[in-house]
Amino acid sequence: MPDLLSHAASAYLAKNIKPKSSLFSRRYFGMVLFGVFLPDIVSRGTMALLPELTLTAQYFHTPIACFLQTVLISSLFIRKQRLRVFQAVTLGWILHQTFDLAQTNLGAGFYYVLWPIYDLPLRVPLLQATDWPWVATITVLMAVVSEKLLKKKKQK
Amino acid sequence: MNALKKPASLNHFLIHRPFWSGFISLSILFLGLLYFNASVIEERFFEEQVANHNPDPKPAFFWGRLQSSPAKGYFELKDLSGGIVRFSTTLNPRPGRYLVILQGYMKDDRTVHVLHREDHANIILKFGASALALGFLLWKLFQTLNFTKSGLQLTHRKNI
Repeated sequence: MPDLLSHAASAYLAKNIKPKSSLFSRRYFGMVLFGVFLPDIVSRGTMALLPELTLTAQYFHTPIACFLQTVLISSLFIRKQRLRVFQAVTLGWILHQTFDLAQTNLGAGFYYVLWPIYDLPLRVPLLQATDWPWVATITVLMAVVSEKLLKKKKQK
Repeated sequence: MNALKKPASLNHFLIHRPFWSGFISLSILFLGLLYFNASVIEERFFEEQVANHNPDPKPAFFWGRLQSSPAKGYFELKDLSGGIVRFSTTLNPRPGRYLVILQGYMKDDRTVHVLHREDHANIILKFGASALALGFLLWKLFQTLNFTKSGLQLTHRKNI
C-alpha cells in the first residue's frame, strides 16, 4: 500500500481536477478524505496492533467490505446528508483502491479486489512498494502545486 | 397502481430506513468476514506459513520482522504461524528495523535458500507518515462533524 499521506494527497488531486463537484465542497470533502483512509483503517491498523490477525483483517480492504462499511457509516448521518455522505465516502475508497492496485511487492499481495467472485489478490505492477517515499513525495508535491494553481485561478 | 410504483432502490432504503440499512450491512459485513477467512485466508495461511515449517523444494514466500539469529552468519524472521525462517545473506541488513519478504525454499538443514528478497527498510517512517495523515483527517473531521439528536451532521465549525 502507498502510505496514507499519498492517499490523502490523491484525494486533494482529485478535488483540484474537478473542484466544482459538490462532493469536494468544504462540507463533504472531509468524508471523501475519510473514504480514502477507510480501507486501511482496520486492515493496516490490525497489522500494527494485532499482527497475528493481519491476513484476516485484509477483508476490510476488499471493495465489498468497503461498500458495507460505507452504508453503515452513512446510516449514522442525518437524512438530508445521508446520500451525499455515501457518495463522498464511496468516491474516497474507490480512489484508494485504484492507487493501491498500481503498487506491487514480492509475494501475492493483499488486494482481493474481486473477492468473492475471484479468490486471488490482483494488481497492476506500476510502482514498487519499497519506492513509497518517492511516491509520497511526488503525490504530495503534485497536490500542493495543484492547490496553489487553483487558488491563483480563483483569484483571477 | 402498485404495479407501476418505482421499486425501492438502495438510495431509497438508505435514506428512509437508516436503522435497517445499517443493521443489515453490519450483519453482512460480519458474515463476509467469516466467509473471507474460510474461503481465502485459511488456505493462504496454510500454504504460506504452516507449510513452511518443513523442508520443501517448492519455493514459497516468507515475511516478518528481521531479527539477528543465535546461529552466526544468519538472520531470521518469525512468521505469523510462529515458525522461524532462518537465512544467510552476504549483505548486512540491520536487524529489528524492518519488514522483510523472502521468496525461497527450506533446505534439509531447515535454513532457507533465498531466491528473492525485498527489504521494507522504512516501515516505521511509513507508519509515521500514515499516523500524521490520520491526525490530519481527525482534525478535518473535527472541523465539520457535529453530533445532533437526529444523527451526525456535517457543518463547518465557522457556520455554527
